[in-house]
Amino acid sequence: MRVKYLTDKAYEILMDNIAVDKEKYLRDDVWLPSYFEGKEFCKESRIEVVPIQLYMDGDKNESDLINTRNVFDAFGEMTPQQASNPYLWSYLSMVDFWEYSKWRWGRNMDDSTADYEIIKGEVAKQGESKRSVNIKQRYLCTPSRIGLLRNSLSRLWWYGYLSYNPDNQSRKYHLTKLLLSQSDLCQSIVERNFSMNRNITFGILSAIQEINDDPTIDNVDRSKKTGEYEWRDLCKYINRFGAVTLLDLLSSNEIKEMSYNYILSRRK
Amino acid sequence: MKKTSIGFPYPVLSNDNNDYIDCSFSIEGTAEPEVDNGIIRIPLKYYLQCAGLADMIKDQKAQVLIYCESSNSSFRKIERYDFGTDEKLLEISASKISQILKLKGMIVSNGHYDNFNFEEHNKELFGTFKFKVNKGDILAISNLFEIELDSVDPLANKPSVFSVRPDDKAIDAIRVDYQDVKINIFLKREIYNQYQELRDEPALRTVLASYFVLPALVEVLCFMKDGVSDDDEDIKSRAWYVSITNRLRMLKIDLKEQVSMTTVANKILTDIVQETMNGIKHIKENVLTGGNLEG
Repeated sequence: MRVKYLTDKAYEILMDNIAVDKEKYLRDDVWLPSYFEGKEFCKESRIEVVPIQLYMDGDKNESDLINTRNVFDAFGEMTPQQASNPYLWSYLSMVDFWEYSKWRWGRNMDDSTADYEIIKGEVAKQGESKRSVNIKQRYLCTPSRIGLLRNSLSRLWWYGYLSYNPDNQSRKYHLTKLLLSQSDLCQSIVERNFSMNRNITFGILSAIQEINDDPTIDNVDRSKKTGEYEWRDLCKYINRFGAVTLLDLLSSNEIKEMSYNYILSRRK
Repeated sequence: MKKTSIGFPYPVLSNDNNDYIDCSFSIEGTAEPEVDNGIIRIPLKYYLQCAGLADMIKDQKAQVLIYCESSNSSFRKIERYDFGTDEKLLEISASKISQILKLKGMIVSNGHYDNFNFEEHNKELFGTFKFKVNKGDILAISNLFEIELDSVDPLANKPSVFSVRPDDKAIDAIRVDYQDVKINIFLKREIYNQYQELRDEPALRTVLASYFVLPALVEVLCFMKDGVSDDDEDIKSRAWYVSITNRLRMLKIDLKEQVSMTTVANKILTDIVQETMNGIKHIKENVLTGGNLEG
């Protein structure tokens, strides 16, 4: 089947009326088609996909891994250029996969005012409610890299794209599994600019995997010294390092060695 | 690619600081970017005024690169200039870029050096201190060079400049009108109703486009080739005209040099002729042999 995407006009209307429409996002039925009262609100794209089954049960991190594989595999030949279109993902989250979007993100619909941290992160405006922020990020899709990494459906595709290994078909999602094992680990890596270079992401994840696979060393987790997640400290270090030295000149193995040594050195 | 104030532990040549005296480093496009067969080609030249860094490059102790980024599509890549030349033709697949491509020139160290000190370094800031630089360390940063790519919708199933509409008063079966922002293909009501019904069938869409959009586009291209004068701003400002002109530029097609507008139309519609044949073959295999059109 060919997937559909919102028209630019429909997208603008939905974005502009979040505060007015926020009760609708609590509904179980797919209300979007009738919202536009017979007027054109979507178009058919040229992207063909096989039917996608999304897993909606149990642990959210486990479901993210299964669904990432399903979505990324289903979209086959879709290009990053096509996958960066927020109208596509907004439509899919609001129509084709409404049930999934609600299951995955429907709990965060508190209508109190958004925290300062969210406003400081420029996701919310002053006085905007947490529900509105959730709608904007998860059900709709803001047209930015971070927006694509937060929308209910697009995040699944982009997690797959940023972490799958095209050179190892039998273990294509080996590092994706690690990436999605912990939501904080995932966010720490993919929302940083360096993750746009897969070599860097692979290097970091490979180092963590190697430590976790070694029964003589503690898994990468909260630091016993500081209580902070070790991967957060590592990612900050990689970021600082990359401000002076061009990370893209290093191979995946060099990044892995650097990451491995850094984590262990911080434990001494 | 935000501008951040990074405190490098050694002098860096940049417009944003005074680490160097009477030096500069910049990149510029030497011609308009072009798109051919889905590949964006951007000829770039760098300009370096700094004897110390130029010597490092000549001795291959440093290298000039272009850092490329299109953040919405998570694209990030470096491209190296060959030693001995200040020009490079950057080639990137358009399918990896989302609208804006940002480019920045950089000079990076090719090794570990303990005596990084030039005459051009700002003596007031650094004195004669000899710095250490490591492999991959950034020694110079150029201006940011942004390219905004053609805004043709990469998801679109057919060019959005076309609109198939009913004409309840029509006598003729079909009429093409390009006086509006879109190219309107008016169909007599009965034919329009049949079109709408057939269009619901995915396997028939390409065939229908071939019947209606392709000849309409040929007509419009003939008009553009012979009927539009250079100072006809009204026509040139229409969305369909801008869109088709952009597409022709991407395909490097000058209408005045073309003989067959049908050939041009087929290229604009990314080989709709072949797609139509594939579609008809699919219909033959699945319908005429007793199957159905799904799958």
